[in-house]
Amino acid sequence: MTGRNPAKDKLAIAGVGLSPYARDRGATTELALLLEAAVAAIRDAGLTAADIDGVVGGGLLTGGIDPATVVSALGLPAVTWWTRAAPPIMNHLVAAINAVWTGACEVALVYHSVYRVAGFSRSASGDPFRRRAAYGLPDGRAATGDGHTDGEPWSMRGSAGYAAWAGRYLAEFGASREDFGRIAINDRINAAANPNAVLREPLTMTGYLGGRMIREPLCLYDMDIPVDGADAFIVTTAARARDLRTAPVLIHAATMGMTAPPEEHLAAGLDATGQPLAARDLRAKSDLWLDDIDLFFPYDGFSFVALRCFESYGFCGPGEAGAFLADNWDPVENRIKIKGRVPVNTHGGSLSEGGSQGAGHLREAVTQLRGQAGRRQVPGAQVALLTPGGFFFNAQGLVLRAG
Amino acid sequence: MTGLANSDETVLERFPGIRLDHLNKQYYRGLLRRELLAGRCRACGRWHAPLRPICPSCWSSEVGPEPVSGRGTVHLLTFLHQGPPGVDYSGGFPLAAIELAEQAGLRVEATVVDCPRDQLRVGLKVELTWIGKAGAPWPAFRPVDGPAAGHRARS
Repeated sequence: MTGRNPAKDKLAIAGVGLSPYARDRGATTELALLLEAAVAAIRDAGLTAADIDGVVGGGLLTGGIDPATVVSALGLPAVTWWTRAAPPIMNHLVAAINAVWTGACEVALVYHSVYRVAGFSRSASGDPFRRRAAYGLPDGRAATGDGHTDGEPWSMRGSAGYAAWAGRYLAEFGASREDFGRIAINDRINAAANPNAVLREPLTMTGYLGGRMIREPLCLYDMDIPVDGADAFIVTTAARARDLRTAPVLIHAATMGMTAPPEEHLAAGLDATGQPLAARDLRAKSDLWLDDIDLFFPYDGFSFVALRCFESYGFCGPGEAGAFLADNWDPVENRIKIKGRVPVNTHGGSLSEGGSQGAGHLREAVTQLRGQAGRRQVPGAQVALLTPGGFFFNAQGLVLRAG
Repeated sequence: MTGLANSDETVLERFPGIRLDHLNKQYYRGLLRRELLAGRCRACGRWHAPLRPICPSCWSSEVGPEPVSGRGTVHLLTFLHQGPPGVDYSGGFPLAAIELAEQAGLRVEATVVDCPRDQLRVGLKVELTWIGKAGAPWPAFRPVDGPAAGHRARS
Protein backbone atom coordinates (compact mmCIF):
# COMPACT_ATOMS: atom_id res chain seq x y z
CA MET A 1 0.00 0.00 0.00
CA THR A 2 1.65 3.18 -1.17
CA GLY A 3 -0.92 5.92 -1.54
CA ARG A 4 0.98 6.86 -4.70
CA ASN A 5 -1.37 7.69 -7.52
CA PRO A 6 0.54 9.28 -10.39
CA ALA A 7 -2.19 8.38 -12.89
CA LYS A 8 -4.85 10.32 -10.97
CA ASP A 9 -7.31 11.88 -13.45
CA LYS A 10 -4.88 11.16 -16.31
CA LEU A 11 -6.89 8.29 -17.78
CA ALA A 12 -10.53 8.09 -18.75
CA ILE A 13 -13.35 5.81 -19.72
CA ALA A 14 -14.33 7.07 -23.15
CA GLY A 15 -16.87 4.50 -24.24
CA VAL A 16 -19.38 2.01 -22.88
CA GLY A 17 -21.27 -0.78 -24.59
CA LEU A 18 -23.91 -3.21 -23.39
CA SER A 19 -25.27 -6.51 -24.54
CA PRO A 20 -28.57 -6.45 -22.62
CA TYR A 21 -28.95 -8.67 -19.59
CA ALA A 22 -31.65 -11.33 -19.53
CA ARG A 23 -32.50 -14.36 -17.44
CA ASP A 24 -31.98 -16.38 -20.63
CA ARG A 25 -30.71 -14.99 -23.93
CA GLY A 26 -31.47 -18.37 -25.50
CA ALA A 27 -29.59 -19.98 -28.39
CA THR A 28 -26.67 -17.57 -28.52
CA THR A 29 -23.02 -17.73 -27.57
CA GLU A 30 -20.89 -15.92 -25.04
CA LEU A 31 -18.78 -14.53 -27.88
CA ALA A 32 -21.86 -13.06 -29.57
CA LEU A 33 -22.83 -11.24 -26.37
CA LEU A 34 -19.31 -9.97 -25.85
CA LEU A 35 -18.96 -8.70 -29.43
CA GLU A 36 -22.29 -6.88 -29.25
CA ALA A 37 -21.03 -4.99 -26.20
CA ALA A 38 -17.55 -4.42 -27.68
CA VAL A 39 -18.80 -2.99 -30.97
CA ALA A 40 -21.22 -0.74 -29.09
CA ALA A 41 -18.42 0.56 -26.84
CA ILE A 42 -16.03 1.26 -29.72
CA ARG A 43 -18.75 3.06 -31.68
CA ASP A 44 -19.85 4.94 -28.56
CA ALA A 45 -16.35 6.40 -28.36
CA GLY A 46 -16.44 7.22 -32.05
CA LEU A 47 -13.55 4.86 -32.76
CA THR A 48 -12.88 2.05 -35.22
CA ALA A 49 -11.09 -1.30 -35.13
CA ALA A 50 -7.83 0.37 -36.15
CA ASP A 51 -7.87 2.52 -33.00
CA ILE A 52 -7.98 -0.40 -30.56
CA ASP A 53 -4.44 -1.51 -29.66
CA GLY A 54 -5.12 -3.04 -26.24
CA VAL A 55 -7.52 -5.83 -25.30
CA VAL A 56 -8.33 -7.21 -21.84
CA GLY A 57 -11.23 -9.23 -20.52
CA GLY A 58 -12.68 -12.43 -19.21
CA GLY A 59 -15.71 -13.94 -17.52
CA LEU A 60 -16.31 -16.17 -14.54
CA LEU A 61 -18.42 -19.18 -15.32
CA THR A 62 -16.88 -20.43 -18.53
CA GLY A 63 -13.44 -19.03 -17.94
CA GLY A 64 -14.41 -16.27 -20.37
CA ILE A 65 -13.34 -15.49 -23.91
CA ASP A 66 -9.66 -15.21 -24.72
CA PRO A 67 -8.38 -11.86 -26.05
CA ALA A 68 -7.04 -13.58 -29.17
CA THR A 69 -10.56 -14.69 -30.03
CA VAL A 70 -11.80 -11.14 -29.62
CA VAL A 71 -8.99 -9.77 -31.77
CA SER A 72 -9.86 -12.33 -34.43
CA ALA A 73 -13.61 -11.82 -34.32
CA LEU A 74 -13.37 -8.02 -34.40
CA GLY A 75 -10.58 -8.04 -36.97
CA LEU A 76 -8.39 -5.71 -34.93
CA PRO A 77 -5.44 -4.97 -37.23
CA ALA A 78 -2.76 -3.83 -34.77
CA VAL A 79 -2.82 -4.82 -31.10
CA THR A 80 0.27 -4.21 -28.95
CA TRP A 81 -1.04 -5.32 -25.54
CA TRP A 82 -3.52 -7.89 -24.30
CA THR A 83 -4.19 -10.08 -21.30
CA ARG A 84 -6.91 -12.23 -19.90
CA ALA A 85 -8.52 -11.20 -16.63
CA ALA A 86 -10.56 -13.05 -14.05
CA PRO A 87 -13.51 -11.09 -12.65
CA PRO A 88 -14.45 -8.91 -10.77
CA ILE A 89 -14.26 -6.00 -13.16
CA MET A 90 -11.39 -4.15 -11.48
CA ASN A 91 -9.00 -6.90 -12.51
CA HIS A 92 -9.85 -5.90 -16.06
CA LEU A 93 -9.90 -2.16 -15.45
CA VAL A 94 -6.68 -1.93 -13.42
CA ALA A 95 -4.89 -3.97 -16.09
CA ALA A 96 -6.12 -1.53 -18.73
CA ILE A 97 -5.16 1.48 -16.60
CA ASN A 98 -1.65 0.13 -16.16
CA ALA A 99 -1.27 -0.67 -19.85
CA VAL A 100 -2.40 2.74 -21.07
CA TRP A 101 -0.41 4.56 -18.38
CA THR A 102 2.83 2.78 -19.28
CA GLY A 103 2.31 3.14 -23.01
CA ALA A 104 1.80 -0.54 -23.68
CA CYS A 105 -1.26 0.60 -25.60
CA GLU A 106 -3.16 3.81 -26.30
CA VAL A 107 -6.78 2.66 -26.43
CA ALA A 108 -7.82 -0.45 -24.50
CA LEU A 109 -10.99 -2.45 -25.08
CA VAL A 110 -12.17 -3.89 -21.75
CA TYR A 111 -14.81 -6.61 -21.86
CA HIS A 112 -16.73 -8.75 -19.40
CA SER A 113 -19.30 -11.39 -20.23
CA VAL A 114 -21.62 -13.61 -18.24
CA TYR A 115 -23.05 -16.74 -19.82
CA ARG A 116 -25.10 -19.12 -17.71
CA VAL A 117 -23.81 -22.66 -17.86
CA ALA A 118 -25.32 -25.95 -16.74
CA GLY A 119 -25.09 -26.36 -12.99
CA PHE A 120 -25.50 -22.63 -12.49
CA SER A 121 -29.09 -22.23 -13.60
CA ARG A 122 -31.88 -24.70 -14.22
CA SER A 123 -32.80 -23.34 -17.64
CA ALA A 124 -29.17 -23.41 -18.72
CA SER A 125 -29.04 -27.09 -17.79
CA GLY A 126 -31.67 -27.75 -20.47
CA ASP A 127 -29.41 -26.44 -23.24
CA PRO A 128 -26.96 -29.16 -24.36
CA PHE A 129 -24.61 -26.50 -25.70
CA ARG A 130 -24.52 -24.77 -22.33
CA ARG A 131 -23.68 -28.10 -20.75
CA ARG A 132 -20.52 -27.95 -22.81
CA ALA A 133 -19.88 -24.22 -22.35
CA ALA A 134 -17.68 -24.87 -19.34
CA TYR A 135 -16.03 -27.89 -20.92
CA GLY A 136 -12.64 -28.40 -19.37
CA LEU A 137 -13.72 -26.50 -16.26
CA PRO A 138 -16.04 -29.00 -14.58
CA ASP A 139 -15.36 -27.40 -11.22
CA GLY A 140 -14.31 -23.78 -11.23
CA ARG A 141 -13.33 -24.11 -7.59
CA ALA A 142 -10.82 -26.79 -8.34
CA ALA A 143 -9.49 -24.69 -11.19
CA THR A 144 -9.00 -21.57 -9.13
CA GLY A 145 -7.97 -22.58 -5.65
CA ASP A 146 -6.47 -25.37 -3.64
CA GLY A 147 -7.17 -24.01 -0.19
CA HIS A 148 -10.29 -26.12 0.07
CA THR A 149 -10.78 -29.84 0.28
CA ASP A 150 -13.65 -30.04 -2.20
CA GLY A 151 -16.51 -28.06 -3.67
CA GLU A 152 -19.82 -27.24 -1.98
CA PRO A 153 -21.36 -28.74 0.17
CA TRP A 154 -18.00 -29.69 1.71
CA SER A 155 -16.27 -26.39 1.12
CA MET A 156 -16.86 -22.74 1.97
CA ARG A 157 -15.32 -21.45 -1.24
CA GLY A 158 -17.61 -18.84 -2.75
CA SER A 159 -21.22 -18.57 -1.70
CA ALA A 160 -21.11 -20.76 1.40
CA GLY A 161 -18.23 -18.73 2.82
CA TYR A 162 -20.17 -15.50 2.50
CA ALA A 163 -23.17 -17.12 4.16
CA ALA A 164 -21.04 -18.40 7.03
CA TRP A 165 -19.46 -14.99 7.68
CA ALA A 166 -22.90 -13.38 7.43
CA GLY A 167 -24.04 -15.74 10.17
CA ARG A 168 -21.06 -14.89 12.34
CA TYR A 169 -21.74 -11.17 11.76
CA LEU A 170 -25.33 -11.58 12.93
CA ALA A 171 -24.17 -13.42 16.03
CA GLU A 172 -21.29 -11.05 16.82
CA PHE A 173 -23.18 -7.78 16.47
CA GLY A 174 -26.74 -8.81 17.19
CA ALA A 175 -27.69 -7.66 13.69
CA SER A 176 -30.79 -8.97 11.95
CA ARG A 177 -31.78 -10.26 8.54
CA GLU A 178 -33.75 -7.03 8.09
CA ASP A 179 -30.37 -5.30 7.75
CA PHE A 180 -29.57 -7.48 4.74
CA GLY A 181 -33.11 -6.96 3.50
CA ARG A 182 -32.68 -3.20 3.20
CA ILE A 183 -29.91 -3.75 0.64
CA ALA A 184 -32.17 -6.02 -1.41
CA ILE A 185 -35.21 -3.74 -1.19
CA ASN A 186 -33.15 -0.66 -2.14
CA ASP A 187 -31.75 -2.45 -5.16
CA ARG A 188 -35.14 -3.59 -6.33
CA ILE A 189 -36.75 -0.15 -6.17
CA ASN A 190 -33.84 1.27 -8.17
CA ALA A 191 -34.09 -1.55 -10.71
CA ALA A 192 -37.66 -0.54 -11.48
CA ALA A 193 -36.24 2.46 -13.37
CA ASN A 194 -33.58 0.43 -15.22
CA PRO A 195 -34.76 -1.24 -18.44
CA ASN A 196 -31.67 -3.49 -18.35
CA ALA A 197 -32.59 -4.95 -14.94
CA VAL A 198 -34.09 -8.42 -14.96
CA LEU A 199 -35.91 -8.11 -11.59
CA ARG A 200 -38.09 -4.98 -11.44
CA GLU A 201 -41.04 -5.95 -9.23
CA PRO A 202 -40.94 -4.16 -5.87
CA LEU A 203 -39.79 -6.20 -2.88
CA THR A 204 -41.25 -5.64 0.58
CA MET A 205 -39.57 -6.54 3.87
CA THR A 206 -42.23 -9.19 4.43
CA GLY A 207 -41.50 -10.59 0.99
CA TYR A 208 -37.77 -10.50 1.68
CA LEU A 209 -38.07 -12.28 5.02
CA GLY A 210 -40.25 -14.92 3.39
CA GLY A 211 -37.68 -15.62 0.68
CA ARG A 212 -36.62 -19.21 0.23
CA MET A 213 -33.57 -19.96 2.37
CA ILE A 214 -30.58 -21.04 0.27
CA ARG A 215 -27.50 -20.84 2.47
CA GLU A 216 -28.48 -19.69 5.95
CA PRO A 217 -28.69 -16.91 6.86
CA LEU A 218 -28.74 -15.86 3.19
CA CYS A 219 -31.96 -16.38 1.23
CA LEU A 220 -32.86 -16.14 -2.43
CA TYR A 221 -32.96 -12.33 -2.29
CA ASP A 222 -29.48 -12.04 -0.77
CA MET A 223 -27.76 -13.53 -3.82
CA ASP A 224 -27.23 -12.03 -7.25
CA ILE A 225 -29.43 -13.16 -10.08
CA PRO A 226 -27.83 -15.23 -12.89
CA VAL A 227 -28.07 -13.59 -16.31
CA ASP A 228 -26.67 -13.71 -19.81
CA GLY A 229 -25.12 -10.45 -20.96
CA ALA A 230 -21.94 -8.46 -21.49
CA ASP A 231 -20.40 -5.05 -20.93
CA ALA A 232 -17.50 -3.33 -22.63
CA PHE A 233 -15.53 -0.17 -21.92
CA ILE A 234 -12.95 1.93 -23.73
CA VAL A 235 -10.03 3.14 -21.59
CA THR A 236 -7.58 5.70 -22.93
CA THR A 237 -5.71 8.80 -21.83
CA ALA A 238 -7.76 11.73 -20.60
CA ALA A 239 -6.16 13.85 -23.32
CA ARG A 240 -7.25 11.44 -26.05
CA ALA A 241 -10.68 11.05 -24.48
CA ARG A 242 -11.28 14.79 -24.66
CA ASP A 243 -10.95 14.60 -28.45
CA LEU A 244 -13.56 11.85 -28.73
CA ARG A 245 -17.30 12.18 -29.14
CA THR A 246 -18.39 11.31 -25.59
CA ALA A 247 -17.94 13.20 -22.34
CA PRO A 248 -14.94 11.54 -20.65
CA VAL A 249 -15.26 10.01 -17.20
CA LEU A 250 -11.96 10.35 -15.36
CA ILE A 251 -10.40 7.53 -13.38
CA HIS A 252 -9.48 9.31 -10.17
CA ALA A 253 -8.29 6.41 -8.02
CA ALA A 254 -8.35 2.63 -8.33
CA THR A 255 -7.24 -0.15 -6.05
CA MET A 256 -7.43 -3.83 -5.15
CA GLY A 257 -7.01 -5.48 -1.76
CA MET A 258 -6.04 -8.97 -0.61
CA THR A 259 -4.70 -10.24 2.71
CA ALA A 260 -3.38 -13.62 3.79
CA PRO A 261 -5.05 -15.98 4.20
CA PRO A 262 -7.63 -15.11 1.54
CA GLU A 263 -9.53 -18.41 1.80
CA GLU A 264 -13.03 -17.82 3.14
CA HIS A 265 -12.79 -20.29 6.02
CA LEU A 266 -9.34 -19.10 7.06
CA ALA A 267 -9.83 -15.31 7.03
CA ALA A 268 -8.73 -13.87 10.36
CA GLY A 269 -11.83 -11.69 10.62
CA LEU A 270 -14.04 -9.36 8.62
CA ASP A 271 -11.88 -6.46 9.78
CA ALA A 272 -8.79 -8.15 8.34
CA THR A 273 -9.97 -9.01 4.83
CA GLY A 274 -9.17 -7.37 1.51
CA GLN A 275 -12.24 -5.13 1.73
CA PRO A 276 -10.96 -2.84 4.52
CA LEU A 277 -7.49 -2.92 2.93
CA ALA A 278 -8.95 -1.73 -0.39
CA ALA A 279 -10.82 0.98 1.50
CA ARG A 280 -7.64 2.19 3.21
CA ASP A 281 -5.63 2.16 0.01
CA LEU A 282 -8.33 3.92 -1.99
CA ARG A 283 -8.62 6.54 0.76
CA ALA A 284 -4.86 7.16 0.53
CA LYS A 285 -5.00 7.49 -3.26
CA SER A 286 -8.13 9.61 -3.58
CA ASP A 287 -8.66 13.35 -3.05
CA LEU A 288 -12.40 12.69 -3.02
CA TRP A 289 -14.09 10.74 -0.26
CA LEU A 290 -17.40 10.04 1.41
CA ASP A 291 -18.56 13.66 1.73
CA ASP A 292 -17.68 14.34 -1.91
CA ILE A 293 -19.53 11.54 -3.65
CA ASP A 294 -22.85 11.82 -5.46
CA LEU A 295 -23.23 8.09 -6.11
CA PHE A 296 -22.26 5.00 -4.10
CA PHE A 297 -22.00 1.56 -5.67
CA PRO A 298 -21.21 -1.02 -2.98
CA TYR A 299 -20.79 -4.42 -4.61
CA ASP A 300 -23.77 -6.64 -3.87
CA GLY A 301 -23.10 -10.07 -5.28
CA PHE A 302 -24.34 -10.92 -1.80
CA SER A 303 -26.38 -8.40 0.19
CA PHE A 304 -24.02 -8.86 3.13
CA VAL A 305 -21.00 -7.70 1.10
CA ALA A 306 -22.75 -4.39 0.37
CA LEU A 307 -23.90 -4.01 3.98
CA ARG A 308 -20.37 -4.49 5.29
CA CYS A 309 -19.05 -1.94 2.75
CA PHE A 310 -20.75 0.81 4.72
CA GLU A 311 -18.57 -0.21 7.68
CA SER A 312 -15.33 -0.95 5.82
CA TYR A 313 -15.44 2.39 4.00
CA GLY A 314 -16.23 4.34 7.16
CA PHE A 315 -19.81 5.48 6.72
CA CYS A 316 -20.35 3.94 10.16
CA GLY A 317 -18.61 1.70 12.67
CA PRO A 318 -18.44 -2.12 12.76
CA GLY A 319 -21.86 -3.65 13.29
CA GLU A 320 -23.62 -0.32 12.72
CA ALA A 321 -24.55 -0.65 9.04
CA GLY A 322 -28.08 -1.83 9.76
CA ALA A 323 -28.80 1.19 11.93
CA PHE A 324 -27.05 3.42 9.38
CA LEU A 325 -29.33 2.19 6.60
CA ALA A 326 -32.39 2.66 8.78
CA ASP A 327 -31.27 6.22 9.59
CA ASN A 328 -30.54 6.97 5.94
CA TRP A 329 -33.68 5.39 4.51
CA ASP A 330 -35.87 7.71 2.45
CA PRO A 331 -39.42 6.63 3.32
CA VAL A 332 -40.96 8.46 0.37
CA GLU A 333 -38.67 6.95 -2.26
CA ASN A 334 -38.41 3.70 -0.26
CA ARG A 335 -34.66 3.49 -0.79
CA ILE A 336 -31.34 4.46 0.75
CA LYS A 337 -30.34 8.11 0.42
CA ILE A 338 -27.14 8.72 2.35
CA LYS A 339 -27.55 11.96 4.31
CA GLY A 340 -30.73 12.45 2.32
CA ARG A 341 -28.69 12.93 -0.84
CA VAL A 342 -26.61 10.02 -2.18
CA PRO A 343 -28.46 7.04 -3.69
CA VAL A 344 -26.96 3.55 -3.64
CA ASN A 345 -26.72 1.15 -6.60
CA THR A 346 -28.99 3.27 -8.80
CA HIS A 347 -29.21 0.52 -11.46
CA GLY A 348 -30.43 -2.13 -9.03
CA GLY A 349 -27.08 -3.78 -8.38
CA SER A 350 -26.21 -7.40 -8.98
CA LEU A 351 -29.18 -8.45 -6.87
CA SER A 352 -31.74 -6.95 -9.26
CA GLU A 353 -30.07 -5.90 -12.52
CA GLY A 354 -28.14 -9.14 -12.80
CA GLY A 355 -24.91 -10.62 -11.51
CA SER A 356 -22.00 -9.29 -13.55
CA GLN A 357 -19.04 -9.09 -11.18
CA GLY A 358 -19.19 -5.31 -10.90
CA ALA A 359 -19.38 -4.64 -14.66
CA GLY A 360 -22.95 -3.39 -14.29
CA HIS A 361 -21.94 -1.09 -11.42
CA LEU A 362 -19.16 0.37 -13.57
CA ARG A 363 -21.44 0.90 -16.58
CA GLU A 364 -24.06 2.60 -14.42
CA ALA A 365 -21.48 4.88 -12.78
CA VAL A 366 -20.14 5.99 -16.17
CA THR A 367 -23.67 6.50 -17.50
CA GLN A 368 -24.64 8.61 -14.49
CA LEU A 369 -21.46 10.71 -14.60
CA ARG A 370 -22.18 11.44 -18.27
CA GLY A 371 -25.70 12.53 -17.33
CA GLN A 372 -27.27 9.84 -19.52
CA ALA A 373 -29.14 7.73 -16.96
CA GLY A 374 -32.61 8.85 -17.97
CA ARG A 375 -35.21 8.33 -15.24
CA ARG A 376 -32.47 7.21 -12.86
CA GLN A 377 -30.28 10.25 -13.41
CA VAL A 378 -28.90 11.87 -10.27
CA PRO A 379 -28.93 15.58 -11.18
CA GLY A 380 -25.45 17.02 -11.57
CA ALA A 381 -23.67 13.84 -10.44
CA GLN A 382 -19.90 14.45 -10.48
CA VAL A 383 -18.25 11.78 -8.31
CA ALA A 384 -18.90 8.06 -7.82
CA LEU A 385 -17.42 5.55 -5.37
CA LEU A 386 -17.47 1.88 -6.37
CA THR A 387 -16.38 -1.19 -4.42
CA PRO A 388 -16.41 -4.14 -6.83
CA GLY A 389 -15.73 -7.60 -5.44
CA GLY A 390 -16.14 -9.33 -2.13
CA PHE A 391 -14.13 -9.72 1.04
CA PHE A 392 -11.48 -12.31 0.51
CA PHE A 393 -9.49 -12.66 -2.69
CA ASN A 394 -11.27 -10.11 -4.86
CA ALA A 395 -11.86 -6.84 -2.98
CA GLN A 396 -11.53 -3.72 -5.13
CA GLY A 397 -12.27 0.00 -5.10
CA LEU A 398 -12.68 2.84 -7.58
CA VAL A 399 -13.38 6.57 -7.58
CA LEU A 400 -14.62 8.09 -10.86
CA ARG A 401 -15.33 11.73 -11.62
CA ALA A 402 -17.02 13.52 -14.47
CA GLY A 403 -14.48 15.00 -16.87
CA MET B 1 -6.37 -51.13 7.18
CA THR B 2 -2.75 -50.15 6.78
CA GLY B 3 -3.15 -46.78 5.19
CA LEU B 4 0.59 -46.33 5.03
CA ALA B 5 0.62 -48.84 2.23
CA ASN B 6 -1.69 -46.75 0.07
CA SER B 7 0.06 -45.96 -3.20
CA ASP B 8 -0.41 -42.83 -5.27
CA GLU B 9 -2.60 -44.90 -7.57
CA THR B 10 -4.85 -45.87 -4.65
CA VAL B 11 -5.23 -42.27 -3.51
CA LEU B 12 -6.09 -41.23 -7.06
CA GLU B 13 -8.67 -44.02 -7.30
CA ARG B 14 -10.29 -43.32 -3.92
CA PHE B 15 -10.68 -39.55 -4.53
CA PRO B 16 -11.61 -39.33 -8.22
CA GLY B 17 -13.24 -35.89 -7.90
CA ILE B 18 -10.39 -34.12 -6.13
CA ARG B 19 -7.69 -32.10 -7.88
CA LEU B 20 -4.88 -34.12 -6.37
CA ASP B 21 -1.22 -33.14 -6.67
CA HIS B 22 2.13 -34.30 -5.33
CA LEU B 23 1.69 -32.24 -2.17
CA ASN B 24 -1.96 -32.61 -1.20
CA LYS B 25 -1.88 -36.36 -1.87
CA GLN B 26 -0.36 -36.68 1.62
CA TYR B 27 -3.46 -35.12 3.17
CA TYR B 28 -5.78 -37.46 1.29
CA ARG B 29 -3.60 -40.47 2.05
CA GLY B 30 -4.08 -39.46 5.69
CA LEU B 31 -7.85 -39.51 5.27
CA LEU B 32 -7.66 -43.11 4.03
CA ARG B 33 -6.12 -44.10 7.38
CA ARG B 34 -8.56 -41.82 9.25
CA GLU B 35 -5.94 -39.33 10.22
CA LEU B 36 -6.52 -35.58 9.86
CA LEU B 37 -3.28 -33.88 8.88
CA ALA B 38 -2.14 -30.28 8.86
CA GLY B 39 1.18 -28.78 7.84
CA ARG B 40 3.70 -28.04 10.56
CA CYS B 41 6.97 -26.16 10.44
CA ARG B 42 9.89 -27.82 12.18
CA ALA B 43 11.76 -24.50 12.26
CA CYS B 44 9.20 -22.28 13.97
CA GLY B 45 6.65 -24.82 15.15
CA ARG B 46 3.67 -23.07 13.53
CA TRP B 47 0.85 -25.03 11.95
CA HIS B 48 -0.82 -24.32 8.60
CA ALA B 49 -3.62 -25.71 6.47
CA PRO B 50 -3.88 -26.61 3.67
CA LEU B 51 -0.45 -28.18 3.18
CA ARG B 52 2.08 -25.73 1.75
CA PRO B 53 5.58 -26.28 0.29
CA ILE B 54 7.07 -23.70 2.67
CA CYS B 55 5.96 -22.34 6.03
CA PRO B 56 3.62 -19.36 5.49
CA SER B 57 4.94 -17.85 8.74
CA CYS B 58 8.76 -18.13 8.39
CA TRP B 59 9.26 -19.49 4.83
CA SER B 60 11.28 -22.47 6.04
CA SER B 61 11.17 -25.51 3.78
CA GLU B 62 11.28 -27.76 6.84
CA VAL B 63 7.56 -28.43 6.74
CA GLY B 64 5.53 -31.58 6.66
CA PRO B 65 2.15 -33.05 7.56
CA GLU B 66 1.38 -34.01 11.16
CA PRO B 67 -1.82 -35.35 12.73
CA VAL B 68 -3.91 -32.87 14.68
CA SER B 69 -5.73 -33.64 17.92
CA GLY B 70 -9.12 -33.24 16.30
CA ARG B 71 -10.43 -30.98 19.04
CA GLY B 72 -11.75 -27.59 18.12
CA THR B 73 -14.49 -24.98 18.06
CA VAL B 74 -17.13 -24.06 15.49
CA HIS B 75 -15.86 -20.75 14.10
CA LEU B 76 -18.14 -20.32 11.08
CA LEU B 77 -21.40 -22.04 10.32
CA THR B 78 -23.98 -22.11 7.55
CA PHE B 79 -26.84 -24.44 6.72
CA LEU B 80 -27.15 -25.35 3.05
CA HIS B 81 -30.66 -25.85 1.72
CA GLN B 82 -29.67 -26.79 -1.81
CA GLY B 83 -26.60 -27.90 -3.68
CA PRO B 84 -24.99 -30.76 -5.55
CA PRO B 85 -26.42 -34.23 -4.90
CA GLY B 86 -24.98 -36.50 -2.25
CA VAL B 87 -26.18 -35.08 1.05
CA ASP B 88 -29.52 -34.43 2.77
CA TYR B 89 -30.49 -30.76 2.49
CA SER B 90 -33.87 -31.10 4.20
CA GLY B 91 -33.68 -28.95 7.33
CA GLY B 92 -30.34 -27.56 6.20
CA PHE B 93 -27.03 -29.39 5.78
CA PRO B 94 -24.52 -27.93 8.27
CA LEU B 95 -21.21 -26.75 6.89
CA ALA B 96 -18.74 -25.35 9.40
CA ALA B 97 -15.24 -24.00 9.66
CA ILE B 98 -13.69 -25.65 12.71
CA GLU B 99 -10.91 -23.78 14.49
CA LEU B 100 -8.56 -26.50 15.70
CA ALA B 101 -7.17 -26.46 19.23
CA GLU B 102 -3.57 -26.49 17.99
CA GLN B 103 -3.47 -22.86 16.92
CA ALA B 104 -5.64 -19.76 16.46
CA GLY B 105 -6.69 -19.47 12.83
CA LEU B 106 -5.91 -23.11 11.99
CA ARG B 107 -9.22 -24.20 10.50
CA VAL B 108 -10.74 -26.98 8.47
CA GLU B 109 -14.06 -27.11 6.62
CA ALA B 110 -16.37 -29.94 7.65
CA THR B 111 -19.92 -30.86 8.41
CA VAL B 112 -21.11 -31.42 11.97
CA VAL B 113 -22.88 -34.64 12.94
CA ASP B 114 -24.63 -36.03 16.03
CA CYS B 115 -25.83 -32.59 17.04
CA PRO B 116 -29.40 -31.31 17.23
CA ARG B 117 -29.98 -28.31 15.05
CA ASP B 118 -30.91 -26.06 17.97
CA GLN B 119 -27.61 -26.78 19.74
CA LEU B 120 -25.37 -26.24 16.73
CA ARG B 121 -23.91 -22.73 16.89
CA VAL B 122 -20.73 -20.71 16.57
CA GLY B 123 -18.56 -21.37 19.60
CA LEU B 124 -19.59 -25.01 20.11
CA LYS B 125 -16.74 -27.29 21.26
CA VAL B 126 -16.35 -30.20 18.86
CA GLU B 127 -14.14 -33.18 18.16
CA LEU B 128 -13.14 -35.11 15.08
CA THR B 129 -15.15 -38.05 13.85
CA TRP B 130 -15.36 -39.78 10.49
CA ILE B 131 -18.07 -40.16 7.89
CA GLY B 132 -18.10 -41.75 4.47
CA LYS B 133 -18.12 -39.63 1.31
CA ALA B 134 -18.24 -41.32 -2.09
CA GLY B 135 -16.85 -44.49 -0.55
CA ALA B 136 -13.88 -42.91 1.20
CA PRO B 137 -13.39 -41.71 4.79
CA TRP B 138 -14.06 -38.00 5.27
CA PRO B 139 -13.56 -35.86 8.39
CA ALA B 140 -16.55 -34.52 10.28
CA PHE B 141 -17.01 -33.09 13.76
CA ARG B 142 -19.42 -33.73 16.62
CA PRO B 143 -20.07 -32.04 19.94
CA VAL B 144 -17.46 -32.86 22.58
CA ASP B 145 -20.14 -33.49 25.15
CA GLY B 146 -22.21 -35.57 22.77
CA PRO B 147 -25.80 -35.04 21.71
CA ALA B 148 -28.39 -33.80 24.15
CA ALA B 149 -29.54 -37.28 25.14
CA GLY B 150 -26.06 -38.08 26.38
CA HIS B 151 -25.56 -40.72 23.74
CA ARG B 152 -22.01 -40.63 22.43
CA ALA B 153 -21.55 -42.74 19.37
CA ARG B 154 -18.09 -44.07 18.66
CA SER B 155 -17.28 -45.12 15.15
